[in-house]
Amino acid sequence: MEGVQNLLVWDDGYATGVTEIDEQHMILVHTLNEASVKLAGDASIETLEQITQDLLAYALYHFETEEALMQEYGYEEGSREDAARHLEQHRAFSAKVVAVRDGLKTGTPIAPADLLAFLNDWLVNHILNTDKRLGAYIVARREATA
Amino acid sequence: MAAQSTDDMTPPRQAARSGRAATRLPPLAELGLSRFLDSIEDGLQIWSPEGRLLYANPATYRLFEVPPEALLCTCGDLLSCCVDAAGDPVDHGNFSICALAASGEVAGETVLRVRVRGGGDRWLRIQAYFQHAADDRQVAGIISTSVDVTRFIEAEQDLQRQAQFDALTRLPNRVLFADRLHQSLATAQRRHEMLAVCMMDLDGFKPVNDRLGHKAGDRLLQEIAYRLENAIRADDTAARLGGDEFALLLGGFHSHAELDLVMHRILHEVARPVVIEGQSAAVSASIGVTLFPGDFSDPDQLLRHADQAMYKAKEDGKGRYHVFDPAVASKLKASRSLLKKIQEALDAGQFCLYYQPKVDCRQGRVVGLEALVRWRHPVLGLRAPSEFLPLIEHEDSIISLGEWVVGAALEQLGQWRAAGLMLPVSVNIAARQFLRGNFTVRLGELLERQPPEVARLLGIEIVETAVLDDVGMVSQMIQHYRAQGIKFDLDDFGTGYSSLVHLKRLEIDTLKIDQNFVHDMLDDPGDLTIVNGVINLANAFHLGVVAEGVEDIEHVLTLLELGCDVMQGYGIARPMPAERVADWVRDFRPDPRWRIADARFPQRSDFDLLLGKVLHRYWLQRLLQAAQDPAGGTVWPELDYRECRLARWYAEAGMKRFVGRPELLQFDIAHREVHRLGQAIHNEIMNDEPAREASIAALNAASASLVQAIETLQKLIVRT
Repeated sequence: MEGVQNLLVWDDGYATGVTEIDEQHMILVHTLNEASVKLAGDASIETLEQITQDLLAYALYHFETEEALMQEYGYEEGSREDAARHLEQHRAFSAKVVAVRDGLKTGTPIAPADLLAFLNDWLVNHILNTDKRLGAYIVARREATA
Repeated sequence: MAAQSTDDMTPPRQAARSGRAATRLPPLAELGLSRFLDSIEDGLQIWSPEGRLLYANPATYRLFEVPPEALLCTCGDLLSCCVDAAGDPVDHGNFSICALAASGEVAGETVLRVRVRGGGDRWLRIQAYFQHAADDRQVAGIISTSVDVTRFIEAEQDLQRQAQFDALTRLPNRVLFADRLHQSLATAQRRHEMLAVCMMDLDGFKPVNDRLGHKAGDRLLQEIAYRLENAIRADDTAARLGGDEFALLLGGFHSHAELDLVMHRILHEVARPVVIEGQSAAVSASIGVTLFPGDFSDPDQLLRHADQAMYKAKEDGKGRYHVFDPAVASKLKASRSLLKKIQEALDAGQFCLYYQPKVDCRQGRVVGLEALVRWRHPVLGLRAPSEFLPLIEHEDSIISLGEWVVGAALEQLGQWRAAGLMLPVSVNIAARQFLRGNFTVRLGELLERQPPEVARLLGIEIVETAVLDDVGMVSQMIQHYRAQGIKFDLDDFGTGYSSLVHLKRLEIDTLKIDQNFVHDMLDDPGDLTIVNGVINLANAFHLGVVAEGVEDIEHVLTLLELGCDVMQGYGIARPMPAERVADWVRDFRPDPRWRIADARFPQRSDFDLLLGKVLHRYWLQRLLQAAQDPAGGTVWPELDYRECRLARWYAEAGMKRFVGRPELLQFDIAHREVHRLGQAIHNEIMNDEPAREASIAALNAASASLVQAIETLQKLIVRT
């Protein structure tokens, strides 16, 4: 692992307070770290394909968890703007990953640094902002009904 | 042994000194019982109702390891040598006599452990009885007996040990290990300490067993057990789970580096050769480690994870350790559950087909439809195949999904035919489906259910990269089904590395140009060249050609110019549910602008000029980008007019073709002007001045003139 910088270590700062979401966020942090390590050594098309495939899986699996929670706790009714922005970001993430994959297919691969920057940005902007708002909302609802 | 006799009823000296009141017990003395009590082996004590000791026979002193001269007044005095299970002093409050005195209720029997002076333990069973006063209401006193039950307890402990320890190595067995794991986890959680749960397996144990015999194998296991115990701390646990499988519970480290040290020590110890009956034998250890905290706190899960990590250590080459990574495991779990979900979605009928029209833009008519699978996800809504197909590309579920697609498309074709709509429908087939399993059989079955005129409307699209996996087999299949009237398209053409030999050999009908090339062809000269190349290739092999990803009128006109008439994309029609198709086809009217292509360039125009437009657009786009954000790292396009590809075209092909034409001169002037203005903007920026709006506007105007000049030349070709 030496030689690869900026590996993320999961800490409570990332936590939304909703266990099922946090457990899955750990996967993304891991995917991001793994991507950093792999791309530092070998930025082949195959590596990029594998990483983006992981990201597609992450999107389907994780967004379902979050969006099911949103429905369960009435996020759209309770916080319409946040909910709309949240869903929009999810769709944009998937679209971006599909676009990156298209680029790989047609000989215009994304630069590893750009892919990592995108993921970092997602982590910071989405998890630390959007997801935390959802987390706070769910925690409040859970406490209210507890 | 007896120091204090009941015959001597005077209170002991110590009692007087300490100020405690020792009560006489005259009735007993009068009865003369004390002599009997002196001689019995079991201890007997008499207490006041308040719990003060009134009498203790000599056996009591001996059994409780109290010095004969000691003064016994209270429970605490008696229990001074007693310890609990952990070896800590006994809490008096829990002792039956004290509890009895405090609550006035009958306490059950208690077993106490006494530390014997000179080593060992003695186990006493204590029972207490009330003595009621004559009126039966008040408690007059308490009598307790203490019996030595050491033999029973030790026998019981032996049994227990057999149940908890491995007979061969004397290490804790699975049962005790589980117990210790529970305890250690609780402790680690409470003290915020790290705990490593390890599974260890010997590499190369079986050969030793086979070569030297079972006895030697057993000796080896004993030696390894001995070394393990020596390599770990006293508070750690090494257990044998069975066979050559061991488990370790390690604490006391604070970093991964410290753990690494411990693991290497263990690996080294295990790997040292063992001499058994003059023969040397060597094994190594593969160890799987999972760490708490970090991993979950469920013991069974921790053991499973350590086990998984051990297999990884074996996979990685044995004689090493591997630390379980919970994130990797959750990722695996996530992807497995995702695959399961996709299969379930198939069973639950969550997939559906959307149909996207293919239109011949030159003739202005609908020529077919492509069936595209969509996932009606119960939570995420309608998902496109690009989001989920890559995940099952190499899984068997893509075969079931593919079969479903073919079946559903054929059924739809049948329905449309009944309604009078006869349009070919193509479906996408994955490589895995094509090359594995019984696709031929299944497709045959599905086709048989339909009348031949319906079956003939089915087309199959195979992605180019899939064909290349096994050209021979794909070629055979295509031949087989073409005989039944099924058409084959090579999809995403341009993304693989097909050789011309493949194209010759495969009896396909159509090449489909990947949408990404079409999408970017107006801005990326490379993509335009690829699009043109595929069209030429299709023409050369007398194949049809379809462009995907057509988004706007410019795409349509350019493709028409290049000689590709059949198109598909958002610019023509989005994919739509089956029920909307009939209406859409009925209401379809060709876009009148499509005729512009015919009006402008009724025949194929010069590709160089078309490329020239794109080259210029690309140049302009890069220049503006560099000008707007000089620090952004965008490389400036070639500023020198002479280095531009358009200038090269002018000097060579242009001069040859349009020699003496004023339109060519016009083109060259416009081109030089564009470069002059571009250079000027560059100079402004280099002088740390921001690009002036006026300069940009001038450049844009010059650029428009250049495009116009190119189009004039294009028309000239058509006319000549």
